[in-house]
Amino acid sequence: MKSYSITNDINNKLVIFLKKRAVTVLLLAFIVFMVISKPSFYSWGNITNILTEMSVYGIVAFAMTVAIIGGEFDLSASSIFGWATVFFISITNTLGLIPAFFLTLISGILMGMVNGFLVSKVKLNAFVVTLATMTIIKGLTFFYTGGSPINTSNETLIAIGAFNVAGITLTPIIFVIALIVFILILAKTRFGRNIYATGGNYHVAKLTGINVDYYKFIIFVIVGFCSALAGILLCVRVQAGSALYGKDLALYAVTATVIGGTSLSGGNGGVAKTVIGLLVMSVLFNALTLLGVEGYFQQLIRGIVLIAVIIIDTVIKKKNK
Amino acid sequence: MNEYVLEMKGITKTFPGVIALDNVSFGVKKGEVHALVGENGAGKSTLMKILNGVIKANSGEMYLDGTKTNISGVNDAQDKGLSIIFQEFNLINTLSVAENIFLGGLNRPKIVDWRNMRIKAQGLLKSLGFSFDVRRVVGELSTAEKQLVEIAKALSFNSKIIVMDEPTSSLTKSEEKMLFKIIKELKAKGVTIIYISHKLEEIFEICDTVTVLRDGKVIDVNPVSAITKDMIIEKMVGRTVDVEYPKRTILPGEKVMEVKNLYRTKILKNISFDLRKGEILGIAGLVGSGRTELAEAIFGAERFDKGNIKINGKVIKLRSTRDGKANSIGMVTEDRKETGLVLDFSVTNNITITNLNNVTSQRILNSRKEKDVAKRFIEELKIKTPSHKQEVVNLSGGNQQKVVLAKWLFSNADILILDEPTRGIDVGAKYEIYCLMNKLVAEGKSIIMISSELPEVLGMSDRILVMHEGEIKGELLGESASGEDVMQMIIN
Amino acid sequence: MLKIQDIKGKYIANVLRSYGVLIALIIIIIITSIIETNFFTIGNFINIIRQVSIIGIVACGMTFVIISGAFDLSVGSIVSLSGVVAISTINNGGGEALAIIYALLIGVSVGFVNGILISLINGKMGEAFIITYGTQTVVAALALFASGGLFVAGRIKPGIYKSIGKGIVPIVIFIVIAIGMQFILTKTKFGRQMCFIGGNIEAAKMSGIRVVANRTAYFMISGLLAGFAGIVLTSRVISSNPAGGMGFELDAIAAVVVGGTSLLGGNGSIVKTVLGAIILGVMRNALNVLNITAYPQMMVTGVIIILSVSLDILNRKAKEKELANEKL
Repeated sequence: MKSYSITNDINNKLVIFLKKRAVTVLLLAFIVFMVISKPSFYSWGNITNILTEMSVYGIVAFAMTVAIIGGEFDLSASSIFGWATVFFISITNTLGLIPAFFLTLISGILMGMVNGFLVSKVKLNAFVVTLATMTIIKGLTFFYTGGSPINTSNETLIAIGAFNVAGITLTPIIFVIALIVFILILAKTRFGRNIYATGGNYHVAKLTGINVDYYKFIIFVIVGFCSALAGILLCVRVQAGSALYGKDLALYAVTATVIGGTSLSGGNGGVAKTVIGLLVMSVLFNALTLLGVEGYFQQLIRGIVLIAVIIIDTVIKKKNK
Repeated sequence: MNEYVLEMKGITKTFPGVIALDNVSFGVKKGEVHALVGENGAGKSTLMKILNGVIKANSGEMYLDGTKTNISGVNDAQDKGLSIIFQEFNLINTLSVAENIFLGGLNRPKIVDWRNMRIKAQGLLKSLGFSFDVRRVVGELSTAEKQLVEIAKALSFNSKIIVMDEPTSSLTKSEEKMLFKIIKELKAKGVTIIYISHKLEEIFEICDTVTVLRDGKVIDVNPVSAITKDMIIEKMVGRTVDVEYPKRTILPGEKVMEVKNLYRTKILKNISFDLRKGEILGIAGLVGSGRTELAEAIFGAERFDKGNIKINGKVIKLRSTRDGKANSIGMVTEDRKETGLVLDFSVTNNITITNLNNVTSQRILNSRKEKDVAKRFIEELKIKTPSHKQEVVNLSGGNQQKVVLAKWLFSNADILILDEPTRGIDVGAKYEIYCLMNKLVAEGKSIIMISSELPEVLGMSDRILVMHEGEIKGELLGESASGEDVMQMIIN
Repeated sequence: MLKIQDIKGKYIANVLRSYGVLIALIIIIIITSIIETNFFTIGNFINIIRQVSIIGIVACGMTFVIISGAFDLSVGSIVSLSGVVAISTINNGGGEALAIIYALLIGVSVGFVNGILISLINGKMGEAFIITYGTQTVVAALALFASGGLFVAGRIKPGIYKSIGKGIVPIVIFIVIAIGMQFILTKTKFGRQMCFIGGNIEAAKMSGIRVVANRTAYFMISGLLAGFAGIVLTSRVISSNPAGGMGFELDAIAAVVVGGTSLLGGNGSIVKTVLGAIILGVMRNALNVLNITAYPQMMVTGVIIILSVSLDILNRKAKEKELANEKL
């Protein structure tokens, strides 16, 4: 009887561990599978490729994680990103690289401020607001370019794009910096903790004397800033801007956040978790490409993975209760 | 020389169309436990909100330690040593204990020093005589533990005055004792406590002075030693209330429900009892004793693993609340706002929802029939509402509770499960609910009543089941049982 | 004196708030009619409503889902897939009836998957959002798969299928659907329970309402209508496009929101949604007539959405104020 209960206990602990880290375990298992079945998967070239692929959207995913922790949602990230690519390239071509860099970031911040104002001050539903600003900014971007992509032959930009350390380009480096900065802000500063408090319980946070409206506002500014920054980083890589870039960015960012384990209800989670989510998505798609899976079949799998993750997540949460 | 640590003088506050506080003066002496009582809507919470700086008074002055002060907001109140512990805690469930304690803390560095914060939090809990892991997430704590966190939070600002709003409303008896011990210790340390409660017994146990508010005016201030419970009630209600629990004359009839060996892993252990026609069966027990889970199992809202339930001699299937309803069971839940009503629906729409088939003609909703139903119940249950179209969010707690009752009466429920039927309801409305319960059993309905308020269970029930840790520890007769009997059963 | 003015002011404010959307519509129509004479013609209005009808049908289903407290992002790709399957069925000689059945079946099935998943996990807004985004992705992929990613011309002979999208037929269908759904919403047990679930899902559960079954049904209706919209769309353009319904979900949500149904759930109206869809349609048409290109049109749509939700908030605040006054 006794031995039975001990094995039972170990079983339980294992089960709890597996449940808590289910996504990570699956990811590792999948990586092992890939390493065995496709040697090209773990070539240095492919690894840097995966890193670069996930870095651009990853920065926005971090900001989205912050927004979701704060209890909000930002669909307009996609359009801000597309806008940033177009605006950055066109200013680079006219005023030069440095003004382009700053003006693009400022434009992203301003767009975030509009979202933030409408949500925190006018008290509109974030989904509707960002849906609307998404449309507005997309319209603006198309209008600005007339719908066609624009290029640049700015040599400094090309040089920056070519810069790398052992195949690692600027983008992953900035991605890692952003990761560290976000982790520090969220875990170590009053600012960060107040975002958790605001998302965890808006009313209570308000009664505790936290300036909740400010945090609701700033969340959108962060998303605006990061979307613009990510747009610039894409430009560094491809030296082109288009209104069509970043079409699926916002939902990609939300997906990575949720797969990582940050709850949609706000108040918990973190950017480190989102890295897991990003890895799951980029490793999976990289692998599918390597395995020769076709474009729409990939899309199909992506949808199913998303649904499966959210369902497993809620079922586990229910069980743990 | 001024003996008052806090004095509010001539406070008047009007909301559009309502005078919430009318020239109220309220003084609290240093180191006392000062009870503030009054019916819902008497102005207690408005007064406390003014004290805390959440809202501003139209006129009036406030003195702290004899000096005139203005409180500009929550942070300012904290800085000045004032804190309020609200009934529905001001804690963020997703954050840790330590973080919650220092959420709006005085020393607000830009960078969070986790180690220091944890040590300080642990220290505060220790000073209250407790220790638990301050890294735990507040959402996982029990109500009593949350209460402790709130008190620790108040102490973290070096509060001189702590307001406690209905602090025992969801505490068990032993937790309540613990709280009282803490209050006494705080008092010994010179902390002043303003104690708001509907439970008058507590006031006699713990408070020094009592201020009674009615309709936004101070009716009376007295030392607790110079006043009785009946006098307080009279002053609160503005009339004499003869009997706290109305008597009924009818006796329970034949068995209508038999519960046999109900079992649910870790929650319910072989529960068996029966319920008679015209009977009020009380269930006493601590929060977490399985009372609510039992009620939900009987209603079909929660599963059970083994056992069966017979109604009128026939075993019934209970897979969902629909089955419960179909077997003429109704349940007035513990939290009417969360699980009982749609707050921005009208009185009518909230009542008819349980039996829409009954207000249709040719399967089409008939608004005239709906109106008639609503009017009938408004009259029968004396629901105070300007119209049947009024949204229930605008009704008082007691009237909202009556709407929930009405909805189950409309579904033709014969067995009514009432979970904490008078929680958060003032004295006058409580009495009305009790009368209503008596009227219902007189009409042949049966009631299972769960309540944390022992006097209520003792006063209203024909029989009382005492539950503890998922088990029925014993059965008492309502007439002869005392509070001690119930506690004895729980302890043994 | 002052009092009368007060009451007058209040009355005007009330009218503005209650009928703001309708008034905005009338203003747009008047201004455009003055500038462009060929705008205010019956022909043009029929044209507008015909254009609106497809999004309108989708938006009616969306209204049900939103009232019940959720979202359905999958409708756009359902429109695409059902169109693709219907056209290829016809082209492969499967017959019109079968094409219609397949298209509707696709809609209902996707709706069933959405609904059963969301309701079983007791999903709120956020979960509904993610899950229907997931099915959107899957269904869009299926549409690409089924069509090989290609635009396919339909070999449709004159008949029922072809007539569905012709002339005033789509308008009539749209109106019939809208009336039917408004009736269901306001006059039946099903509709009342929908509002109750959207208003307080926990209370609905404790009131003996079949929450899972009902919620699943709302998504099935939404899917069914999207499938039907796919038929109307392909019938009108006599071809299928694997991305034909792309973005329809957002247009449908815009119509619901502009109409004035609150995203909080619990109440709403199909009539409002129809109005919302028409406003967006008229606005787009007016901009076309005024020779304003598609891109600024997108911007105007966004601004209109923000304005109409702001109006909704204003409305609610004013109501609260009135209530406080009434309490006297």
